Amino acid sequence: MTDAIQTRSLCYRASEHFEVTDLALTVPAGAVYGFLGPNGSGKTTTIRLLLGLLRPRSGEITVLGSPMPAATPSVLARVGYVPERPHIYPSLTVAEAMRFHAAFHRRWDSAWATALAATFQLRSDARVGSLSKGEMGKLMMLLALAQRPELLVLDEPTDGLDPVVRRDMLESVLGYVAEHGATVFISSHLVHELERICDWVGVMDRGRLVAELPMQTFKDGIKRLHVAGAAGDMANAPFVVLKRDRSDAAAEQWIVRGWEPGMQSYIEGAGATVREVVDLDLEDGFVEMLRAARTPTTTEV
Amino acid sequence: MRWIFLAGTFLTAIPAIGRAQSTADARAELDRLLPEWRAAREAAADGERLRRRDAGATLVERGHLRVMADSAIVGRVASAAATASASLDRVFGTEAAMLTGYPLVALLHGVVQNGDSTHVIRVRRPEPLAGARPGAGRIGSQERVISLRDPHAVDGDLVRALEAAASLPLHAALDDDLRLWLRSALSATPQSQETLEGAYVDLATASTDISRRCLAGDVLGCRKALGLTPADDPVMEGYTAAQRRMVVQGNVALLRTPGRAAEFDRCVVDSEDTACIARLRELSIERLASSYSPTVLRRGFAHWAMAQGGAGAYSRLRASAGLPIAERFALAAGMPADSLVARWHGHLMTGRPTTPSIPPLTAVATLFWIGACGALSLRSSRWR
Amino acid sequence: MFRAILATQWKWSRGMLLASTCLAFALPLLSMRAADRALAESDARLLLGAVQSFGMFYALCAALIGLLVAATAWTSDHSGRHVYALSLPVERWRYVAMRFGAGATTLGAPLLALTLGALVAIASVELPAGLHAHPFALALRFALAMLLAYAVFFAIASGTKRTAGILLAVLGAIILFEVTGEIIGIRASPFLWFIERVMDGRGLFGVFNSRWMLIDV
Repeated sequence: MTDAIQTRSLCYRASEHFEVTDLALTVPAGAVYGFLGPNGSGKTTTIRLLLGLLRPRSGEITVLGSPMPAATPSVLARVGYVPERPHIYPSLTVAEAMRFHAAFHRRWDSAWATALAATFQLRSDARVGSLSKGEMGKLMMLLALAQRPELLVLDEPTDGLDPVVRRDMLESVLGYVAEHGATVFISSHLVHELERICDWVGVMDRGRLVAELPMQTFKDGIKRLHVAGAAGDMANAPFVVLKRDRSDAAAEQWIVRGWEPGMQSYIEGAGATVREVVDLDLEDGFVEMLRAARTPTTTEV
Repeated sequence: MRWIFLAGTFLTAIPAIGRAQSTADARAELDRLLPEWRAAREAAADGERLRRRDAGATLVERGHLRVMADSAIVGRVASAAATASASLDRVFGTEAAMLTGYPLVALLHGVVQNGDSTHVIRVRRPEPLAGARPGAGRIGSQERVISLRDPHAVDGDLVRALEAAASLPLHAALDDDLRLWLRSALSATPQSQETLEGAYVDLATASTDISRRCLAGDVLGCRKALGLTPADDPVMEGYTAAQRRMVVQGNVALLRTPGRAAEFDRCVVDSEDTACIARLRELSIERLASSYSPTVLRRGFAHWAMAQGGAGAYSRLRASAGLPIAERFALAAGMPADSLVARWHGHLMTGRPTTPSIPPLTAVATLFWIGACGALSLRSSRWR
Repeated sequence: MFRAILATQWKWSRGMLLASTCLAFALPLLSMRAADRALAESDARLLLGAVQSFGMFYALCAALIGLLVAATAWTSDHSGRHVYALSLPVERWRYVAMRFGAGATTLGAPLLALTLGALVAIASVELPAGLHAHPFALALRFALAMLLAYAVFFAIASGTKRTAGILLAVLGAIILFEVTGEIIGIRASPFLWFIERVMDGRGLFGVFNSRWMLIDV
């Protein structure tokens, strides 16, 4: 098995105004895959489709080698899921919630669950409903990890948490991945958070997958170029021009993706001059990529 | 003719009034007769009406049963008359032959029920009994009205109505002792399980000394419950203290006489049983017996005894006038009186209802609904 | 898994179940208390009347317990929009069946209490001749009624808001037709027809519509 998650031509209509269209997603096994996108872009809907919580209108989904949603129970037994919003029964205590969850997962590791509870400083007699947002996040992460999953699906797991809790949680995830070689599919709109831990990135916008590439390629390939005397058509360029702005009468400012050092010669060969190549911050790159995706004239993807 | 019937009805009432023990009893008896008098008047009017529309009526003859029926329902009446005639023959044997002289009428009437126009069939005697034996006594019209609203019930109701109406002249032909014991005409309608259950429940819930003994299988107790042997002390044996108080309370007109008002009040207001006992002793034996020896029990016994005796049972019953009632039923049934009562007790015990247990059909239906609701839960769109 | 679900069901409904259990135990005893006078006078008819007057309370109690247990079975899942239940590695039908079974199992407590209460109640009195106690028949009826009420409300609670809306709309339409019909003089009564069918021996709530007698002939 090479891919932990694979979707082909996936379509789902959530409402009259929103649908996931023609989604082709590939998450390599063992990868930490960051699923980026602004709020409302369809990240949570996609995750629910992947886990069989929603039924797709058309298309194929394969998770851990099994078709979804046909194999939902057996797949969910191998997947640790932390949803966007707290879902655990609020009237249970932490210990009861752990016992309940354990009853459904054969690979539940009680000792590790107890150890995680201690690490996360969760009181076993505390009611789930009375936990703070951070504690709730930790508990959900604990439940997802202690079942020893092959795939962790985390839907904005650190959203709204303080930096300390966020760091604790991400460390526990990375520790688990390092030890067990599991795949992580983590969605977020916090670009910097994913930048540190992900080796793959997928970008969603308005129900479509805008880009999917290794994180390093994404980080390295996004540049701002100051170009003088540029030709009109750059359709055959070995990089993708996300945006072109005229900065003055003689020069233009380009935002490009897939830039590599030797490509400067291609521009110069076309009669233009590259005055400056500036590294872009990942967040800026993400924003520019989204802008480009929303502009119909851009030759993106 | 009508006035002769009315006068006859009045005259037949006189002996009953004579039997009353007091003026109050006589008044009560007259009150009781008033509806019958009115019914008799209506029956006479019907007879007149029937004669006028003679051309529209058809005489149905089935066995010994004669019914003048409206042409519109003649088929239905003929079918019901055939069934009723068979029942009459079964219960009354050769005695049913006398019914040829007592035709019935079955008329279709348009009525308004709850604001809706509908039709009913009225089954009754057309006129005063012609050719009734001397001393036959009163025979009320006892009109039966059969609604056509429930088409499935009409035929059964019609059969029962014919059986009941036909039994009146047979009852009238009985001697006084037997008529008094039966209290009202013995219908040819077979005793249903519900009737048997009703008789059992009546006996089981009476809570009197007599009923308890009968329920336990004591033949003498059952004889008393059936009115075949007089109770030694009906006031004490036939009533509980609470029942005595209630009976006294229910007979204000008879028992709260000026001289005994204080005693009546002590019974009703202070629940003083001795006062209730003293008051009840003023009631006639027959009035007292109506409570601890209910008609449903007597009629059920009579039916059952006839069935034991076979075809000639009713004739033997009639022919044995002058003997004690128990002996007459024994002759009719063809077995000693105590054996008859003991076996009747066994039959009555089979009528013990199983009401507290949930009916099997309801239990099965409930389990089905539980399963259906469970299946509906599984089919919720939440899970799809 | 079932034990875990049963544990949560118990946790959610134990307060209500405790109260229901006490009520179920007390009902037969109260019915005997109401029949004190009849028992003292050994009057069967009076006793049956008193016992019968309590029949309605058994039916109401069964319906109420069924409703409350069904409501508690789904409250927590509703509040989490069923995400947790749906993310568990078990088939949906199996999860729902286990939830249903867990709720039904907890109904055993009030049922046991009613049976015990009935046995205690009849052991403490001397019945008039001709009457018999039927604690187990009453308990069986109570069990079926309770389970039925539970199943009906469980099914309603399992449904989406849309389902509940459709049910309410149908009921509303029947009532509206009834009211309009009354005004314009239409004699047909779908509501009455509906009630008759539902309360019929084979109808949905037929089990509620009969004699709830601890003591009978």
